[in-house]
Amino acid sequence: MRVLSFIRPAWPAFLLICGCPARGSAAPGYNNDIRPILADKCFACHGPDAGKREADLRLDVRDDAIRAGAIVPGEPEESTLISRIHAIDPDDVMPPPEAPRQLDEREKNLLESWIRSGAGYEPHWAFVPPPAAVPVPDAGPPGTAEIDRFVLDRLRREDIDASPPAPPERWLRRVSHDLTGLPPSAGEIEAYLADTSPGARERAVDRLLASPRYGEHMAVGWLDAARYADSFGYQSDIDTHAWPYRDWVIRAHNENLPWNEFITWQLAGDLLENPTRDQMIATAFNRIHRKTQEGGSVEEEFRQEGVADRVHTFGTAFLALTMECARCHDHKYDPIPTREYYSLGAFFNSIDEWGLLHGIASIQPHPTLLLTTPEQDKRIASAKDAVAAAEVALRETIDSRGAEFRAWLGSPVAPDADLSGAYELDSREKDSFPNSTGNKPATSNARNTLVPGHKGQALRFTGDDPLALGDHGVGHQEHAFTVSFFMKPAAQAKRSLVFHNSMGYDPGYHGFELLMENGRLRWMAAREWPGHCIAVRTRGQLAIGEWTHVSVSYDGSSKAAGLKVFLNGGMADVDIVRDNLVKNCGGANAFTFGERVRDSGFKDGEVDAIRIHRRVLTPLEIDSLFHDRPLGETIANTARDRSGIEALKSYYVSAVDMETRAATGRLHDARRALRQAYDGVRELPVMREMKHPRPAYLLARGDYTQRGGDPVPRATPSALPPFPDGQQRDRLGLARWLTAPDHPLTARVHVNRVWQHFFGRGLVATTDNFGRQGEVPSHPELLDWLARDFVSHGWDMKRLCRMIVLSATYSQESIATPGLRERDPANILLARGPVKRLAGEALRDQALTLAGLLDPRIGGPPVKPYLPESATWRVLNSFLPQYKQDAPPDIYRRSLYTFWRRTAPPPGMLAFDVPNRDVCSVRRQQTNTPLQPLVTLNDPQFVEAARGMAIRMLRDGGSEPGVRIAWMFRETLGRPPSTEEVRLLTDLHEEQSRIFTAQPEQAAAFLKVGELAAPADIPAAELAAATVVASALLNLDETITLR
Amino acid sequence: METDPLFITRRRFFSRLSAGLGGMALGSLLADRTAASMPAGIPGFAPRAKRVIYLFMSGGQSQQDLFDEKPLLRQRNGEALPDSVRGGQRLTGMSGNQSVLPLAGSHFDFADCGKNGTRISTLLPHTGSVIDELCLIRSMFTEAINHDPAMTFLQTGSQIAGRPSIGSWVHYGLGSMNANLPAFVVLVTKKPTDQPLYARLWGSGFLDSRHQGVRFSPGKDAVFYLANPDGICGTGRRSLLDKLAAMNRISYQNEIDPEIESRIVQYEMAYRMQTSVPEATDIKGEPKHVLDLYGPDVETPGTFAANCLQARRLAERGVRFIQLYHPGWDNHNKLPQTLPKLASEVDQPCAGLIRDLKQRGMLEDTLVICGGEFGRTSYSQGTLTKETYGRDHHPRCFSMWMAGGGVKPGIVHGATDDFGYNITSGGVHVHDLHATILHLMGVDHTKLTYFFQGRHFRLTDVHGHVVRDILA
Repeated sequence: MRVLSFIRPAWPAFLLICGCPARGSAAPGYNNDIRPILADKCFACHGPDAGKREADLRLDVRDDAIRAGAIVPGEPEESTLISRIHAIDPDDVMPPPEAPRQLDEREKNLLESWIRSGAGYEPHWAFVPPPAAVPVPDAGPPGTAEIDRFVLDRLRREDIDASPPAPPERWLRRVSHDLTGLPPSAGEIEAYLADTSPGARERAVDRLLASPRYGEHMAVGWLDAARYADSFGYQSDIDTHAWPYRDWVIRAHNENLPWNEFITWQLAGDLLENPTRDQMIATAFNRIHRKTQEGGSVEEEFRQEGVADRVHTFGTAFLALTMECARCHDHKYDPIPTREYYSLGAFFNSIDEWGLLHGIASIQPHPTLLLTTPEQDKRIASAKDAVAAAEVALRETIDSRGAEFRAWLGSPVAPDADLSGAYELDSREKDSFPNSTGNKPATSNARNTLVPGHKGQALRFTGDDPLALGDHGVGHQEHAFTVSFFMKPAAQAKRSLVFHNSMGYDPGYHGFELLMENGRLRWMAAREWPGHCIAVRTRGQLAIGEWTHVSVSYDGSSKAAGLKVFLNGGMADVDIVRDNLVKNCGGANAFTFGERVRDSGFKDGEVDAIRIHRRVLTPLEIDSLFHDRPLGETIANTARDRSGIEALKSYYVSAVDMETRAATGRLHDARRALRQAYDGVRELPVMREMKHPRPAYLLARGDYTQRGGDPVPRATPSALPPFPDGQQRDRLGLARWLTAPDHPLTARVHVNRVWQHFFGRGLVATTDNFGRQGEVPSHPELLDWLARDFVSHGWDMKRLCRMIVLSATYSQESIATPGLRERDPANILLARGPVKRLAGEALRDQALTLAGLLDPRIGGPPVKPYLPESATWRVLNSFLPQYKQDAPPDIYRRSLYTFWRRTAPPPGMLAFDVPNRDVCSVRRQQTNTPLQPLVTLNDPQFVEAARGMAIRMLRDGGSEPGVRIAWMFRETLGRPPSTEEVRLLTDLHEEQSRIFTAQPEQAAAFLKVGELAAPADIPAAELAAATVVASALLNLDETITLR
Repeated sequence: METDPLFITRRRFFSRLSAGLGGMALGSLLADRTAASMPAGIPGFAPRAKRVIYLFMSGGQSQQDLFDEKPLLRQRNGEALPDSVRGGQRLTGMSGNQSVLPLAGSHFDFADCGKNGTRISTLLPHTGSVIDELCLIRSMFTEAINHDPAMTFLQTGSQIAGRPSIGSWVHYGLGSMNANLPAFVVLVTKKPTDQPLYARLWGSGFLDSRHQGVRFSPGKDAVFYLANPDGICGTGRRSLLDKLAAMNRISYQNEIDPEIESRIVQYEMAYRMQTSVPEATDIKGEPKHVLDLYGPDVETPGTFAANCLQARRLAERGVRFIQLYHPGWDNHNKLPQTLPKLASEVDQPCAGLIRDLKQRGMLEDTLVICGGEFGRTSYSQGTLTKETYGRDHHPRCFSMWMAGGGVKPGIVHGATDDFGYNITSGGVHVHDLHATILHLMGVDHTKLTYFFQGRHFRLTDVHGHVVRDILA
């Protein structure tokens, strides 16, 4: 039932604790008392949002409020603010009667006495850097740690005593769970209890901090913030394969990477000098947001969603500001105008990405990092060497063929062995058009019509119906080929597909394509447009309504220079649009003219005389095709001057000379081997800055179609410190700005979240909001001191954790006397130790540990443990793969390795408030619902774990039931049971023994739940009864709750 | 509210405990509870609907073929959609690049139904027979054009994931009316999905997770992990729970933490659900004349018909919000071939549900809602032939119907132009629909708020108007 309250400080106990003037006569303070009222009841219409401001009055700026007469300092009677809030006339009273949030009497009185006392404003605390030196109060006996002095000082002022230390077993369980997510083993408990020498606690903490379990456990909270998941979330919910990022987060925690670097790597690892692989992996932080591939989605809409998510995550995770509120309008409460929202977004919009995912799951969204293994690196290097050698060999072969060439001159022209398609498109038989090479004919339905063409007939396209030319052995990035034809476009369309050899369901296809864009031809080989492809575009525009001969070729080099366009026999001037093709671009292996699914077709355009050659045609041949002249005639007519001889030799080595053709074949083979070496390489989407920043615009109401006039510059919010001089305006500069020692938010936000981790509640309870609508800190000086101390000690996470868990504050007994509970139900004052329900992951991991089943392997691809049939993936989504449960030991891995499918997360985790990872989340709820016992009592994972515990108990726990039970109790809770507890569990054991002895088939069935085999040497009824006892232990409040 | 198992209250629990706890912190904890869980200012106007049954037609129903007859489309079948009608509105990438957008007249006949002769597709004869109970809205519109954002919008009031669903808002605002069942139950037709459904559609977003919808599946585990493990009998489970409770009470005596008592109560609630959920979902006791109302599929678990009957049973037992999903309406192609079967899957069950509620006197205070996430285009996606056509997504207008729970029966609200493309009168935005649903439940949509990350969030964001014309 306990909810870590998201609620503003509204209940009486809290107000009392906060020292509000309800108790005394002190003047109300702006930050603590007045701003929350104004922000909640007034700022929506009289605040920072210029778009929604009424009567041109703003109350969040003192001068404006005074100028408008709303406030006359010292004179509430003269202040219109006061007269309006007391007005009787519904037309005058403020807030207006229809406003959902009205002022109560207490609030009205506060406003009045605040104006009477001078109406002082204060800057919002969170936007002012913590003082360079925070005085530590003198409290507690000499040697008291700083944290405790702050807490004791506050308790002294509240006249409350701190609680005594928790018993050692309790502290050890608390600290073990908090640092590693696992309970201490019996051996660890004994060793700790036996260690009576000074420094025992420190040694225990150091052991835990050094454990690799520490990094795994601490990673979970950050993965919530980073909205890490194993799938992209929308419709088909395609897998992210982003687990190398998750593993890096674990590694970074275990290696205690300084937190400023942890931030910097994630924001800008790619912009560091010679980034390491880990620095690149870290940037996946900005790529694991949700991404859709739903058919027909608008690319720009979702690219903007991605950028918005990065801003949202940046705002919440680092600044604890609700930046996202300013996406559609100026922020209502915090000084963040919409323009500044988009200026911050401008840092995150300049990667060469496509806003949508592809239906083809193996194609990871560009830019990606190639996660080669050392073997793959070796294979790729040697394949590259082989390509280079084959290129040299080819050149040398060509140079060596002078004599053969001269001997060939004058020979008759042989039929072209590389011509694989020749379609005159003059006649149609049913739907088919002959291929004069004898290969398969082309096909088109009758809606594409035959019309008088460049020569004979031509095919006129509807734009919605294809002419299919089929397989010509072309489809991969190493294939060299040429496609030649006459075309007559009907209009200068914005985009129109001429032909393609590609895969995909939406624009952003994979493979080869020739597009006409505003009259220019774009010739391209793409793995993923725009970032991962080679493409050239003609400078000139094609004549509309006239025939042009087009010949486009590709040489298999994976370079833009290998893409050639010939128009009417001459090589066309082109601009290189993109020149980045590493992994394979295709695999479709079929040419189609005039239409592609969901693309704009070659509407009303005509095509004639198509030729497909499986090599790069030479200019002489293209000229011959353009003039529709036999090649022999062209050769005969070629002048035997220097350039003519060169042209003839090009033709000779390309088409005739067997040695050169063999060398070309070897180059092709080498390129294929290189492609294959890359084929198996895993990829991770990462950040990689474009050479030229993409302009960013203000989008009215957040709508991608409502772009504002001029681009907005890259800038940080003006309410925060200025962007440092001399820093690049890029993500690295942004990271430097964010991690500057005097930044008012970064360190405070972080230490506060760490505090929340250990105490269940932050010093600022609204961990996700340090803005004006967030809660004020309960211990502002402690927060500031922790932030300063953290930064001045090198942003050292382990040191911070160590200091907290060794503090007397953390180590207190958590039992609250009724008086204390009434005074401070949420333990804001920290007069007792923390109480927290274990997280979903920790509950499962604890059960696996106690069962002796936990698989300690760190990292790697996610695993799929037990899932109820009705929760498996395909039940609600036919697009998803089958849920194939893994085998042991994978199903016994820690819960952070469980496959997290955003659209269908594991129900057992959701029941325990694990966030669904759609968006950034820095605070978990702690509910107590009836769905939870169903999990811990009935989920096969827990039933099986109970059996594992029972087996351990029967093997290692002694021979007599009472002793065994006490042994297991201690294993589970780290303390010996009371007599009464032993009696209850012994009774339970006896009852269960009777039931299972009477019903052996039930015992047998019970022992079959889960994969863990019941040992043959333990009688079934005995094991079953012990399993129920273990299940009871797993379900104890004391097991579920960390006290 | 006190009886909701997902909403175990401190009040109840403290009234039980207060004797034992002496002068414990009753006041402040109650205040805490109120502050933390109760939305402030739920106004006191009388609810017309105590509960909602929402039949979600996932994928987007074709209004031109079911509820909104357009003779002009038949007359001008095959002609291009005039640019003036489309008015530059965006299309999805699925048909947006098509060279022509040919108007497609429905292949299905319409018939006069009910007292007012409301024209309904002959694919829906049963629905037609209860038309006098329905308020047919022909002028719904939305902003999203793809399924995922559109469904998320209709179910949560926002296209972006992370907001609470309608059912969660209602649960949060009004609490539960029963002791043994969740207040918000989700039933999905068991069939291959064309458009996926996601847990987040019934998720609680930033609200407390106990407000999330609980999906009931056909079969032994109607709720995840509901059934005891194999080999555990009722006696055995009871013996475990009794000892567990005794142990937890010892902890309580030591710790004096009310959370422990709460946990004990939750274990008992879970135990009760193990009985109450199978009882609620077991239709063995339903007489034949009731089963017959829902049609022949009703005895096949997981069908829409079976789920409609379940919905009535859950409504009877005090479940506040019952959300059904029936996928399959995404008729991009071969619509004339696929629509009749889809229509027949839902037609009789919908009508049966209305009749069954009516005969029990429950229709008065049960609001039934039926419709998808958007409409479909008046032009054909893909090639229009004599035999077939397809329809792409269309956000600008679509049809829904509501019944019972304070809506005017037997009326048609709103109209669209002759092309079935734009609304000509009575437009109802998604936010308006939400405002109206909440209004019918006695809740002012502007006052049902939750403070999260510095803002008072609402189901209707900062929009929404109650559609007064349809209120009875």
